[in-house]
Amino acid sequence: MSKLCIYGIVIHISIFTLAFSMDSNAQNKSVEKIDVEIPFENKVSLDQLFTFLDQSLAFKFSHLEQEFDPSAYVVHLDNKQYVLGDLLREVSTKTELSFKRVNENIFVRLKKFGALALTESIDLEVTVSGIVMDETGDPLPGATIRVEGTSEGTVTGIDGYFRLTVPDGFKTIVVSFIGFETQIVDISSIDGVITIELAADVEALEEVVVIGYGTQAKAKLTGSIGEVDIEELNKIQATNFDQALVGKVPGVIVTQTTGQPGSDLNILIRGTGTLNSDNQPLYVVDGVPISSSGQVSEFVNMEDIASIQILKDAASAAIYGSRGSNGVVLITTKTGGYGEKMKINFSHSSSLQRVSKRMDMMNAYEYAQLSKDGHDAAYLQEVPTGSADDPNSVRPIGYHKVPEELIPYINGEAGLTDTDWQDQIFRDALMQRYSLSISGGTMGLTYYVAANHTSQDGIIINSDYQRTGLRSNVEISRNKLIVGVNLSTSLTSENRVNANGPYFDDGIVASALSMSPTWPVNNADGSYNFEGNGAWRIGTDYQHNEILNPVAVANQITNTLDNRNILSNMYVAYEIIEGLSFRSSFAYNYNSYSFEYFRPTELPFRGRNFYLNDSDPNARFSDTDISKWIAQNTLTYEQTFQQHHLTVLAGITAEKSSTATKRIENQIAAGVNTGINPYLLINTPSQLLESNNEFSQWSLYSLFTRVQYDYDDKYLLSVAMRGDASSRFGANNRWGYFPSASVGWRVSQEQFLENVSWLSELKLKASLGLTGNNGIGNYEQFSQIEPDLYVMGNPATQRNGTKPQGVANPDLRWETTRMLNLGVNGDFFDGKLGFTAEYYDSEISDILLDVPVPQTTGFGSARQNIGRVANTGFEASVYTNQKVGQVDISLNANYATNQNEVLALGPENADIIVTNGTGHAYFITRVGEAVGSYFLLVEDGVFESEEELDSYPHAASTRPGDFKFVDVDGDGVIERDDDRAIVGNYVPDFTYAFGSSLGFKGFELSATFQGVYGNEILNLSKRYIANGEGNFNNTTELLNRYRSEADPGDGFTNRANRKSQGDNGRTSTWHIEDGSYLRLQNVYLGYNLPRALLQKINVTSAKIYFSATNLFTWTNYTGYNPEVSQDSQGSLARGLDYGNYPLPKTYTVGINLSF
Amino acid sequence: MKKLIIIITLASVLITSCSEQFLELEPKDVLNGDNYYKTESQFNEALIGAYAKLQGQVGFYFELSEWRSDYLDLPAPTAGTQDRYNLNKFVDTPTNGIVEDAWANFYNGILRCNLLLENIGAATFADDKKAEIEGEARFIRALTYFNIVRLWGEAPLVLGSLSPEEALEAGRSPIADLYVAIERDLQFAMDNLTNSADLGRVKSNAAKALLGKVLLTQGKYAAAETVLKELLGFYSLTNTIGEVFDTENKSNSEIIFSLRFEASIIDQGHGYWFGIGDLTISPYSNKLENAFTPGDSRFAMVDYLLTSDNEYLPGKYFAVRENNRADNDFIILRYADVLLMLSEAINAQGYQTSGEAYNYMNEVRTRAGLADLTSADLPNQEAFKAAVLEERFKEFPLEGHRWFDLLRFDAVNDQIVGNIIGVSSVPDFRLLYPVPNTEYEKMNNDEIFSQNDGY
Repeated sequence: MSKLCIYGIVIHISIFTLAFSMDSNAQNKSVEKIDVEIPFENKVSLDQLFTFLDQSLAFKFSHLEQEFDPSAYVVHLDNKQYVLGDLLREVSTKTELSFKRVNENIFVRLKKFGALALTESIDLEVTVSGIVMDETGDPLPGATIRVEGTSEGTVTGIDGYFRLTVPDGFKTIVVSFIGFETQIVDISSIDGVITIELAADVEALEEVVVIGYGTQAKAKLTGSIGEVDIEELNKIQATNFDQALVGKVPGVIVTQTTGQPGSDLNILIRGTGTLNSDNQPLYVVDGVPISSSGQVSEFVNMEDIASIQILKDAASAAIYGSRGSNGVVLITTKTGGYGEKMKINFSHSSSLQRVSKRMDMMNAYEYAQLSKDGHDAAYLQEVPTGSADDPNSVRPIGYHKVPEELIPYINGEAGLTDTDWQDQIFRDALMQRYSLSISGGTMGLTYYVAANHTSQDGIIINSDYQRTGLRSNVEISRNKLIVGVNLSTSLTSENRVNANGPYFDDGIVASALSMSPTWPVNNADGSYNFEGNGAWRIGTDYQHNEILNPVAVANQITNTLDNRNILSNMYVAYEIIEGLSFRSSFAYNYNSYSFEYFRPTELPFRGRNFYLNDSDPNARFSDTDISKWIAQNTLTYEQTFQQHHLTVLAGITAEKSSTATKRIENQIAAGVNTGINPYLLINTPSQLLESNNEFSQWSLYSLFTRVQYDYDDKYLLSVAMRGDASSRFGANNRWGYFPSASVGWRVSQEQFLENVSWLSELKLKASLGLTGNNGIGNYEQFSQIEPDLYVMGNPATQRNGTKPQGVANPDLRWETTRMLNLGVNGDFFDGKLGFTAEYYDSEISDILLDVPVPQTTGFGSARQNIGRVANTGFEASVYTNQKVGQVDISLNANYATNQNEVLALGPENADIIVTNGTGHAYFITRVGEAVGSYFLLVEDGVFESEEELDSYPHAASTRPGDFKFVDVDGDGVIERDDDRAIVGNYVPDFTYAFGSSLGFKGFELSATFQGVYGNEILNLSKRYIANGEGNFNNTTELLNRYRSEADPGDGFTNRANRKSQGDNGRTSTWHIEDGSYLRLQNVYLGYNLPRALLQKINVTSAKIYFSATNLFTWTNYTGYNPEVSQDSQGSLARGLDYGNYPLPKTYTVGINLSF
Repeated sequence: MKKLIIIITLASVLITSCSEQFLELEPKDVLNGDNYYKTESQFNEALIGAYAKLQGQVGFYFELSEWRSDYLDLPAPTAGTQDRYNLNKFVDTPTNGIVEDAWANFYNGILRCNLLLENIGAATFADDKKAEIEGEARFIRALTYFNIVRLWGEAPLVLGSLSPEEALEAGRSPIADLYVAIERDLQFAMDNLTNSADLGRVKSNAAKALLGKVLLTQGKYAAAETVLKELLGFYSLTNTIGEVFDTENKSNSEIIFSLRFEASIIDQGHGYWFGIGDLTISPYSNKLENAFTPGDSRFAMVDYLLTSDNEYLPGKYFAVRENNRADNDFIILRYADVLLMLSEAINAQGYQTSGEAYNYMNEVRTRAGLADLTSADLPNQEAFKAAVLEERFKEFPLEGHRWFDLLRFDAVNDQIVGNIIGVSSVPDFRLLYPVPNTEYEKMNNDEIFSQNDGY
């Protein structure tokens, strides 16, 4: 398949039969009748040839400067004596050029703008004249002018100028040019020269889109393929393209769960299919399948992307067989065009990033009082004879007492330390991006070479990201052979901080939120203060949890990730006979990443045992190399018999991937090695040296075929089949087969609608197909034996042992998704208004699931193919593009629902209940419900009085001010297990996005919004920062806490109590929050500098812009970001927020230049 | 050009031609279970893996025996101690995480033994070596089943590896069947093991000591006495109780079988046992705090001592950290236990006014610095029995015996009620733990796998 076809616009220029007169003027003679003798030797460059013809025949040869450079074309001519027409046709055959003769002008264009090698038109009389230009005022040579209702017409000359005879009685002319909207001009009142400005045709129906292993005219698509507007994409200031996909395609949910620079996103297409295995779509970049989404976002630079197509339905994705279940994202990068003049694009942007939200935490005085209330409550419940006014000295147990350091705060002394820890870890951060590309082509060669660099500081101290990428897409074509190479490399380097972890695992954000504001960041001598790390547990154990100073953790721990990628793909295509072409490609994909972690001795370990002590310094290195090759061979046959169009594809591919990871870790004794670096540390002799090596491989061998047929562009049919054999499948199930079929009917092509002028396109389509998901581990079908150590002897020495890991399953196989897709799309008033609507119904069976099995197997679960899940959904999008006066207005909106229901599970359909985050945060997967629903106690405010307490079942220890839980089973007793209920899930009821853009003269203003509705979030962060125990700083929510019957607070917030009672601390609906949000994703204001100005400085176009990303989020969610972490435990337990790196809002100024 | 095309076509077809070899990829960095359990060294490694599993079970002795007993009293739960609190206050339910974890851990340990035992017959190495490995594995399996039967009563008796389908048929076996299997395994271990093994390995004598306890638990007093007496002469009490637990003297004369830890080796140490940061927050019940009469040297074993890193630790498990880990061994069987079991077994067969039943108990008392007991102190069988229980109470705090002792002596209510805050009675059904709810739900078959009554 040639690049021309992939990239270009397939066009038929119809030229009218024009009468021509036999004028004496040579220019009025047909080129078929002009003889010419070539004075050159058999090799000639085209500029020489054109100059010669100009001079000898009085023709004026012209072309568009920006299209190609004729001096780059050298042709071998077969003869010396020519009829001019034959000469031009021969040149056309040997180059990518075509010729259009109009009167004395001969325009030379690239063939992709006109399939015919040579066309000719000669006219006689003129009664109307004018000039045709594009929107920027450049003349359009070669535009067709036709008198409406006749076959009379002409084309414009090099200067865009035309003259045309209009017969009596005809008052309108039709001006058309490929790639532009056709315009009808009333000439009845025209006197003199008219100026016609043609607008670029955005919705060209002839557009070709990329599908699996080929391309297809967009109008003939029968599956569900989401397209991403690349221009829109580039308005979003994101380091990686996936961030910019948010809200762009209905049914494709892109979730940004962390603001950590350089992190990957979750992309979920059409709902949760699988339960345990990989939910990420397959990425195919320039025809090469890539397994890791993270890698794609690194080596595919946004500016280099030509198109993104997302295959959503099974029929479209089935050609990718056992990897198609989660949808397929096809990315095509830019290429040069044959004979295209060199074009240089440069862009730069600078952004300021700032944390998008801050949590409203208590100050030191509020916190001290909360803590006192907590300790008082713990004291009074264990010593009922006591009083809250009792001094520490009479309180018997450590946690009854109030830390002495808090007393001055409680007494309201002014001027005490009051640290806002969020201020200390967040910062305003800069991001800069540069991108440069050079593209073009000559005869037989195209090139696109590009470089990019991104440098981003994180909004948390000591975090940043750098990326540098290079790309080279080169293709050579000669006769029927095309050879090409796509090569891209990227280097990234990240300084990471542990922002997502819990406070007890060096998590910076969680530590900053929960750390007592009474501690300073630094001591008087400038060293870090570590009193939060146990000062209140030593001597008297007040039982305040030990928290490391998050500023010290962020600054002192080194945590870097370096990533190196090379993707190289070489392909050869050959047209064996007309219509039958063979294509073979071999791609090699190398990805290597290295982690480096160093925890210096100056940073204590967490906990009172370590308090201020130097720690044992620790260094870890790991290197992972992923090496993959893929060989793909396809045969494509295309044929047209009258109204029948047929394309047949057959292919065979093989690929193999190997992953090797090497880890090394060392830890040495504390203190003496102050200042040691990680490399020295690793090299320090020690018996603690630990190293391990992991290696795994998978292979996949596939055969596939597809037949696409249409009758008269009207009735469409596509049938495909793929067979996959994979090393991942058990020996008893080596081959999987994935058939699909789809049909379409372009109603608008029917004769009875021919005269409905407002209807440009109306298509009905239906598809059905099977796809698979092979996202299981590489060796899951085997039971594995892993090392396990023990010590024996005296003195004890290490003995190496082994343990069995997992149950073997030789029947293991892929998951199968059957999806039905019904769709309709329409386009009205020549693209001014359009819509798409689709309905899908899918059922996933043979789900790869860690099925709970009795522990008598030795394990709690075994991976099996079991269970069925249904996803049904509706997706719609509408758009309109209007011109009101001088203003271009476009609006678009999309909407998608997804309903997820478990149809069957393991033996007996037993519920699958798992926990995540904490032991009592239950998620249930039950037949008839959505996957991974929350299954929790139902909290219903707090008991406000003894009276209320007596009137309703409650736990034995519950007192007024503690939570009231609903007696779900109505048995009069609150039981932790029996009173759990299904209380929502993480799947939104619907997702939506809308945007508008306005264009006026050179200005462009756009805004996009995006949102989800109806999902619930399990906000487990509240366990710490809203627990009311006084051992952590809390959100100001706790200012509304219950204090007494007389002062019950807001009725929803529990009392303070260091030893929380009444199951206040148990995970319940109190932790469940509505996750709906609407986000102003992006605002963009761009200005295209006037061309007249730019021409003086040899610039083709220049645009400056301002853009703001993630400006506002409307939500009731109390955490930083309603897009919460999704995949720590697969689909069975999602929607959990246990603290994360907040998203930044980003303000950007940038410039794009083309030369 | 034609040639080039042919070459490219051929090359690409060759590259993509499929063979079984291309698709059959086995793990290289871990061993494939299908090809394992063949050689002597593999069986040795599998046996080490079975031992290693026992290390992880120390916590269950603490949670399910000591925290269930009159030693420890948790006044109020915190977020991480709710399950422990429930066990301590006898309000646990079938979803108790500790109970679930224990069940899972024990049956995983049993699988490690079973895989070894069911494959060793077909292996081709020396029979005496095989018998040794088999004996050790059968001891470990017996110990695990002994804990299972004491904690849950009826339980699946699995003596080979099971597929998930087979496991659904593995219902709870009668208690008697479990004990038959335990005794058979221990008999094999006694008969096939030597007493000269590496420190930490199961010896023939360890199997005898455990069998003695198994028989005693079943009320087979005479048989228990016989087998326990075979241990006399092999072991002796250390001079002081402190020496038993001295981490510098792990191979002392009193140890019969212990779980080994070594902090200097990565992942082979453990966290502090019963550490606290503030003496006002001791986990001890008032009963334990006040148990020791003046002069009883065993008080030092529960007394809290401050380490250099701000932690208070009981004398028994005092430790100096290395690599942030402690390395006390956890003793499963020691000679003092054998002596007190002998006293118990002899007295149970008939009260005697003097003689060996007194001698064995007094040997333990003497080491503690206490005066001998005589028939003047213990005028009848009941009094003697109570004295043995009392002696065990003081000798074995925090060693994982107490709950099982209370069961064996039928003394749960007597000893616990009134000594643990908030526990006013212990209903009979709570003498067994609930089977984990997860297992109950997975089996979903009341005929062969019902929940224990009362839960």
